[in-house]
Amino acid sequence: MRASALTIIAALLGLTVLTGAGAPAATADPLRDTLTVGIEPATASLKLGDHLGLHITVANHGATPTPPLVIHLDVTDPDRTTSVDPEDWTSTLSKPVGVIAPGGVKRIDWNVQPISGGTFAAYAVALSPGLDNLASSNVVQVHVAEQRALNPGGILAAAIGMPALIGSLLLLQRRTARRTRVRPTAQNG
Amino acid sequence: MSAAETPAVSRSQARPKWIVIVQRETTDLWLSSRGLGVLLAFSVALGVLAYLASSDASINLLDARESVGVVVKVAIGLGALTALVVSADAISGERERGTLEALLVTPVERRDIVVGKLLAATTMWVASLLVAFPLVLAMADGPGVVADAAAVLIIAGGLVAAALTALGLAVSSLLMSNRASLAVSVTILLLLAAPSQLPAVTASGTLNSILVKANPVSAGLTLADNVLVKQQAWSDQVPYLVSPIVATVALTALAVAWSGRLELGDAR
Repeated sequence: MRASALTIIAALLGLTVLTGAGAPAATADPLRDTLTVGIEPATASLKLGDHLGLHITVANHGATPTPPLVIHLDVTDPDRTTSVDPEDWTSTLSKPVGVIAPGGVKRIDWNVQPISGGTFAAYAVALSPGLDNLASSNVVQVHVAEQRALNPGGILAAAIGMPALIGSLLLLQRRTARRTRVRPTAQNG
Repeated sequence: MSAAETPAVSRSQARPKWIVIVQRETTDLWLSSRGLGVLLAFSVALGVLAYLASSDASINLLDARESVGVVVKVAIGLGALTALVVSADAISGERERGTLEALLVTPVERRDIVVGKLLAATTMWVASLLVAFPLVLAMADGPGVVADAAAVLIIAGGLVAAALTALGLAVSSLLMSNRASLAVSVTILLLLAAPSQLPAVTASGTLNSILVKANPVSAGLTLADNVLVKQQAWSDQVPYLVSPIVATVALTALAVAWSGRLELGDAR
């Protein structure tokens, strides 16, 4: 009798834990368990100076509304071959998305511009002020190819032409001045 | 003197003396290697900068207007520096080379000498403008940017260069040593240009805004930034034109007023 009573109490407790009943709304479930953060595209290849659009999707799979959320974007070089400052890629590193209702999905678009070549890992995390856990996205592998133009915007002709023209005039002037100095000497001799 | 030469001589005598000085000084500047040497250094520096700015613009790291703005601002700064260097050498240089005495014994008033030298030194800025313009033309991505850049170079750059040329000449007529004249003139230019290099945090605030507008060099550079990069209207730039105009008029008047003090001195 006592054993069956204990079994019933344990079952009730288990049910309570599973359904989340009795827990304070919104903060009991860790974000990592109830949220899915996805970032697209999975990989990207671009040239230095190109812009890249990142699309982040945050879905609430929990039974309760999320607390007010902030999505933070980060970029790093896992191989540590290049120093990365995400602020060079975008001026906005965090975007508020607010509360997401149970079953709700929010989409955030980010436009970034890499400023150096290499292979980088970009990812986003969802976090809420005051909570000690977060949900992170998958990682986007961003391959940025260096590019160098020999004659960017057709500037080379002017950039070399002007000093060359002035240098030629200077040489001509010096030669003329030397000839003018030499002539009276020759006449005197 | 032959009869054929008489009208030419009388024409020469009829001309204002300062025009004769302008012609002599301009010829001396551009037929000696001094003018072209300084201009060559200016064109190399501006050419390298324009190439680097265009490289960044071609891969979208820099907006096309922003890259033109960078080149225009450097052209104003370096162009004014070239004019300043020439004017700072104008009198103290002659004093050191021992040629000032010959100039002072001619029947030309000292005021005419100073005005003539001032205008001749200004040709250095005109030459810098002619070097900068093809680079701006190659970099600009439309007639609007070209027109804005040309107007900024001519108006803001012209005023800043005129003010600094007058400053250099005033310093040159006061100081006996050419080295001291160049050092003082360039130091003043660096001090005037320093506020435009302050970080954005320090640059904000009412006091700084007043200081930027009151300083002719930073006012001219800020105007260039406002028009070319921020695309502000010219009608909003009047406060930035006041100090360059006042400085040009005041320093020119000062240089001419000090012409009475022009003396051989001891150049050593």
